Amino acid sequence: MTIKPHALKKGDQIALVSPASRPHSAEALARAEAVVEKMGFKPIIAKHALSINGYLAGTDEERAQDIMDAFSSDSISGIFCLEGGFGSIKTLSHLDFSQIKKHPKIIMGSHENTCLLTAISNQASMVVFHGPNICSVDRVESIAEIKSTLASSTILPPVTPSLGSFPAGFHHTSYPGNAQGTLIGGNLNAIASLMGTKYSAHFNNKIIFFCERDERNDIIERWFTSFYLAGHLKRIAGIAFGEFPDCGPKDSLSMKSYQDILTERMIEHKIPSTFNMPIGDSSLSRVMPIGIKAKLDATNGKLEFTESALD
Amino acid sequence: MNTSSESLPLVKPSLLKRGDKIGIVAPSSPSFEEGKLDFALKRFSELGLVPVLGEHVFDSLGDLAGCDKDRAHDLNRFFEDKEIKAIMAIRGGNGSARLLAMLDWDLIRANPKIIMGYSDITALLLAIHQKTGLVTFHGPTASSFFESPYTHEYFLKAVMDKNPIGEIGDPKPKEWGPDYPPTRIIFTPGRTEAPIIGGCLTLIKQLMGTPFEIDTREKILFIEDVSEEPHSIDRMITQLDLAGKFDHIRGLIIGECVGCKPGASKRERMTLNMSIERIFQKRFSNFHAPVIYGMRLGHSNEKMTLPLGVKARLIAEFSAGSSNVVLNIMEAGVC
Repeated sequence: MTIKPHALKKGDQIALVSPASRPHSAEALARAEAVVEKMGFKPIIAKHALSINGYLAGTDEERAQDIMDAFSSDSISGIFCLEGGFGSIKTLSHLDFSQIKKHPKIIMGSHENTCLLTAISNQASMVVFHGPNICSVDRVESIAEIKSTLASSTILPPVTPSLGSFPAGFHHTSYPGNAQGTLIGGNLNAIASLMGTKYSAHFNNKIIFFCERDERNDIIERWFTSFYLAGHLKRIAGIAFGEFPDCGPKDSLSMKSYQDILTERMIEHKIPSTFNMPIGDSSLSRVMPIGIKAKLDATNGKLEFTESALD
Repeated sequence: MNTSSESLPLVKPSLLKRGDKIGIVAPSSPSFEEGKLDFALKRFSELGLVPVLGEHVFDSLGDLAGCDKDRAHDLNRFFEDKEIKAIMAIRGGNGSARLLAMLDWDLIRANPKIIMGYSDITALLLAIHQKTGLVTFHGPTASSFFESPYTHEYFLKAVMDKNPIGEIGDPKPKEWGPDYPPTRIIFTPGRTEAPIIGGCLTLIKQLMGTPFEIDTREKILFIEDVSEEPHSIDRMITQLDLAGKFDHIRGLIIGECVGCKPGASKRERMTLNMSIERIFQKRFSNFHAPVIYGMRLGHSNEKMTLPLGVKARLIAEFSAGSSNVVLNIMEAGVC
């Protein structure tokens, strides 16, 4: 049974952690604090949030300790990742998932932090949230979206291509149909990076959402081929492809777009799926709960939640 | 998901002799410059070998050398053709893993022969080796073939000589401005003797969680990569580590990783990066088995040929302040 953390209330304390890379500067951290205050919560900066160890915010043990401290503390109600980069995967072997399970609380992040979220989701059977790393929040729309999602214990509004996107409400169906199942997902490379490990996402009968940024088409294809070879595409219920900013051929010789490449696999495996869903870490992105039941209408580009994400 | 190769007896292909035909295939990406193949074809003829081009070797579909069906067809056809004694890829790139579900394993089992390449071809080499027990060869491709005497020498030793390759030497060092890294850096000293397996790290990663996932147990593992940022290498190594792939290895050979300096790749650059050497050193110092770094088995012209599955001996020792590294391929890959 999936554990649902409590919804956030005004004045709740939120731990700001850096499971991967550090915020670029103390100023970026201060701005993240201001963003969290704007949501009506009280930011608590983790001990190693700004530590420097190469591209990592401190050693693997230090970053894991910050995560464990935040989960274990009774005064902390939620945990927000500050920055992506790389390295949350390196904390996994240092985490105590049974301890995390005893202290269910909201955790939100994106990009590389998908590794952390996916691991907590399946090792602690807890609903986790894919949403922007706080340092990258730069629009009031994101602040409102995060606040309303994480403060709600009722069923969240459906996900459809945002009215703010251009052209408004546009989606592109790669294979039509309807699907239902438990929702999982996040950054494509991060999900591929857990394959073969005990932390890997389980794809059976799932609706999965994928997003990626700044990546070459052929690399997206390479990691998606791993899912195909593993047989995951035979067992998946549906796919919502989200935002893929700055993804394209770049310096590679690939002529096909990632949409072409992925669509071929969708048709081959008859997977209800659609592109251009507002899922990722932009100002238009929805905060996505991982681990609750949902329905995908790929024909009409609509993802509906069928249960609440929080208690 | 692991397909254990332990139960499969090693199958050695016949050695390559003068007059033998070699099938040239493009299972991944097309050649950058088609004419470059001519250098290799000329070298083949000098060795008395007769190159036969696959039907689709010059096909091009974006970054792939034709569609999956056609690339797989060329491979299956050359395995089936009794006249063809060896199969060589023209180039790596991307796309060989896409073919794995289209290969005819029974056909390959019934027609064991030399297959060689590196980089993206690693997917084929590992999958064929683990599915059939066939000794496959991590070595040059036809468009980076024989362009150094070192590569030439080890190609001959690996597939045109019935004797084991024996002790691996180094390319002739440059007197000034030597290439970095040196070939024999020791992270953890030790001695070991075990079958050897490995290839390009990106491809080893790509097969994780699939029926073709690498089996590293009780093996000496070799890895290399090209144009990956250090954090990307670290991510892949972490994935293998979390999957327990280093728990039961008997030794680790990290080859030269060309273009993997911080900021050297064209993608996913990151500030505050650290060198791969430091990443490897941190992770593999005081390791439970010997670990060395720098041997020339990667993405440069100077490249040894390594038969997958044969027994090798690795000695890495410090003596009188200097490092002594011996890699000896003790068993022939061909019969």
